[in-house]
Amino acid sequence: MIPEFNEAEPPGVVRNLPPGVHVATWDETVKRFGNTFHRRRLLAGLEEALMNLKRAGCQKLYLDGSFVTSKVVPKDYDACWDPVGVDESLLDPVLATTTRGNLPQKAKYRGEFFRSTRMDRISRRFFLEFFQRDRQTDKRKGIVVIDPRSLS
Amino acid sequence: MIKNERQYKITKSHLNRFECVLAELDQAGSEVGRSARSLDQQAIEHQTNELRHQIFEYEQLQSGLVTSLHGVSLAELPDLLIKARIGKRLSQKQMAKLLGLKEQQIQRYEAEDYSRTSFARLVDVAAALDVDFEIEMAFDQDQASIVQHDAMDDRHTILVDVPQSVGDAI
Repeated sequence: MIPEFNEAEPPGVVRNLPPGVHVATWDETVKRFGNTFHRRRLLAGLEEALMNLKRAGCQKLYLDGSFVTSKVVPKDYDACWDPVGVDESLLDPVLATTTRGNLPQKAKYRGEFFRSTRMDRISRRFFLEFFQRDRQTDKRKGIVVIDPRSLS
Repeated sequence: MIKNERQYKITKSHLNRFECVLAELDQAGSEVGRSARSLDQQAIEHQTNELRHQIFEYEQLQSGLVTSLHGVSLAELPDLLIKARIGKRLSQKQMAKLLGLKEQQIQRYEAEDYSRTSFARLVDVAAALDVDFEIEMAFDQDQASIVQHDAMDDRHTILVDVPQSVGDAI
């Protein structure tokens, strides 16, 4: 269940999800964030990636960036895949490799993919700190987590 | 992208934190005899480089060293307009005055990345910035795009099943 956006601070500007990691199925994600053709096109790219991730055994994909805000025209989406349970030999190399600007990923999937950290003490603090922080206001903001297995 | 001094400071402090985390991870790594950076560290390193790039780009714009910008999608146009304003060392107040608008209006436009600005107004903004464009749009009739694929494969119903409210969304 994805909660409503917070009020914008300052008013009129882009609204974020409340702080926290919000669990969503693929269908809920499409319904909530696919309200323009442009956004649905981005989601179609994410769907392709999720199918590959599902085949590789991925159980969690964190969806971040302005895509999961009220921003009408996000340029792309940011996705962090959890390596737990993943057979990386089954992953599309385009997904698994980050490069400067991530152009191959953007061309193929219309978004950027990162391997989320293995949650050791230092990395976990870092992950929570940075990926859930609005880069423009420096306030905590929410992100969405999708189980690739929720794709039919 | 960094749009103003406040975001510049925030990004610099984020970079600082990233660099501290990387240093801690390097330290922890060397303590267990690991010489190469782990995949986690590489991911963080990638983010660190992205931040450094954003900071560098902003500093270059601020210094008046940038004279042209390039984009690969229409969705990037608002970013280019904001960067052009910074690159020309035009304040939001000055631009507002040129357009006969209040400064808060320009602030709002930029904060929303021009997402609710009419096309006519966008053209005015570009005119006020006195920028030149050369627009090249490429398309291929035979391209097997995701759109065409989706129309044929009923597993991908995202683009076929467009909600009724799309027209109202904007």
